[in-house]
Amino acid sequence: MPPLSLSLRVRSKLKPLFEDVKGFVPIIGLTANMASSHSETEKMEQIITEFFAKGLHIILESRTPYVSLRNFSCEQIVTSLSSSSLSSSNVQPRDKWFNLALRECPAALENIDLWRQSNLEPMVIDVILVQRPVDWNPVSFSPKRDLPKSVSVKERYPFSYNTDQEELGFEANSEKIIERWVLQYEGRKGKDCSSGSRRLSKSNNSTLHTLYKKSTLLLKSLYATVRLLPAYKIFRDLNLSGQILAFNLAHRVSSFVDPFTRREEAEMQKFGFTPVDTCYGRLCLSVLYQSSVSGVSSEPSMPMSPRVIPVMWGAHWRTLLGGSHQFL
Amino acid sequence: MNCEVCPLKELEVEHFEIREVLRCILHTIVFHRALGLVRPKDIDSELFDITYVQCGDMELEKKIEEKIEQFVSWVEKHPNKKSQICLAFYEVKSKQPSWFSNKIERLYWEQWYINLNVTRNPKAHSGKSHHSKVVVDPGEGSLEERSSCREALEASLREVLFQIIKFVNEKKDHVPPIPNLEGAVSFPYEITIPSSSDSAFGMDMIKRMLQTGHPTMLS
Repeated sequence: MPPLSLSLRVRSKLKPLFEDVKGFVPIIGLTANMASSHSETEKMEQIITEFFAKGLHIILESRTPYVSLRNFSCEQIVTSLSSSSLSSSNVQPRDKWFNLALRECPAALENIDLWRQSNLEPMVIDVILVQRPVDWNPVSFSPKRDLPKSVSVKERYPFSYNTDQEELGFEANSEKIIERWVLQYEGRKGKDCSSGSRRLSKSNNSTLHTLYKKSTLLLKSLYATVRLLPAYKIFRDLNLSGQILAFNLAHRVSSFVDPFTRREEAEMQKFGFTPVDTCYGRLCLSVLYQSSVSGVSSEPSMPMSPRVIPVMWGAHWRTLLGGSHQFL
Repeated sequence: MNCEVCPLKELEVEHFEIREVLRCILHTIVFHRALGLVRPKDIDSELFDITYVQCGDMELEKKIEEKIEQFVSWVEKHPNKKSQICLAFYEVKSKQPSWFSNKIERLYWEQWYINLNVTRNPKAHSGKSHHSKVVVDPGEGSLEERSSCREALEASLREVLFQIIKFVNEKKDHVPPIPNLEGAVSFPYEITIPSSSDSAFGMDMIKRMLQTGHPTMLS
């Protein structure tokens, strides 16, 4: 097997990872010389932390409609749409983690801080369908609020996600959790990963290799799965529709949530990804989802014809081809 | 490591659906095995309410399209037949050159079998569906019947995509370590379609089975 080269700097748990991007070099491989200067545990923890970050990014970037991007600067949005090629100028350090370069998703960056401090906390991501009341009239809606926003429910409704949204023109809106993603690192107590030798051995490098490889495979399948679940259609319809719709998607990221009632859970289906085992525990990922979301989209289940859709963010016009889209 | 084999659920497809079905399946598999730096490209299927993922590698897309076209040509010559396409990943081991052979040995570590049952005569169709244009079959059957068939195929195709995802999740140990190479596609692969002679295709399969008998040492 060809030797792999390591570039890694282990960062303190107390320091947010992306404060100093200049000093950060993600893992892209492993050699014995570099690896010997850092403990296996630190490197493993960094892989796990970045797994959480990437997992959150994958889920939110396919559940946070584009209209919410107007909350962020034009520069961020234009940067994310600027180029389709993987040139060195448009590859961020975080893109190299697990070799998966994703489009900008500020919501993911905003919500990761807790797990950079401690990756033993489970990460629960609720995807919430927000529906306006039946008698909602778009004509009387304020122009300032003429497009639905994807909002962080935790941010706007810190005590209850069923709170009235009068300030946005939502009155007695209906909210329903249509997906609940759970990412968790279940630690094992008393497990010793050392090979018995004080010198970092080839077997320890192999362990990290294997963890990184399996995490990469898991995240790939997560990326494909989020696009096959029913909520993705809602996300896609919100992005591609040029009209004001009576529904929107919100999200909440937390380490603790009230469990579903038995009745609620019975209405949902579960998909569990095979955990990735490490010496100290295992990475687990699963989702509970509504298998059908009724009354949301009136579009018939027909093939989509490609169409050019003009979309404006700030002062920049971009077009999206309705049949395919690459998030940059 | 031994070769892991994944036979996918058989799909009953009409001629004009072949390309789109194969694109969904082949690209999904390859995406999961492209462990180099990838900027994924989401593709909304032209025929189904399914979004699948491509690697964004132009060379790969071109090769897949070529193979699909070759398969479509084969189907046109062998109508109403069940067929199988094999997507295999391998490692290259160079053999000592000898008087008789200078070949490179391929050690297959994973094989995917896509099983299709093409049910309609291709005579009603014309033209190729390379890119975004779709040739809609004007064929027989009521609209309701055709819609029902399309929905059934879409549900089955979705099952196949989940079958791929489950397989990728459950079996990870046999995948070789991620090589430190440029480009999205990490591992050499081949796509085998039925040849003009069924016996030749059978020989290809037997040859591959013999090759996969060799255990692969993976770190």
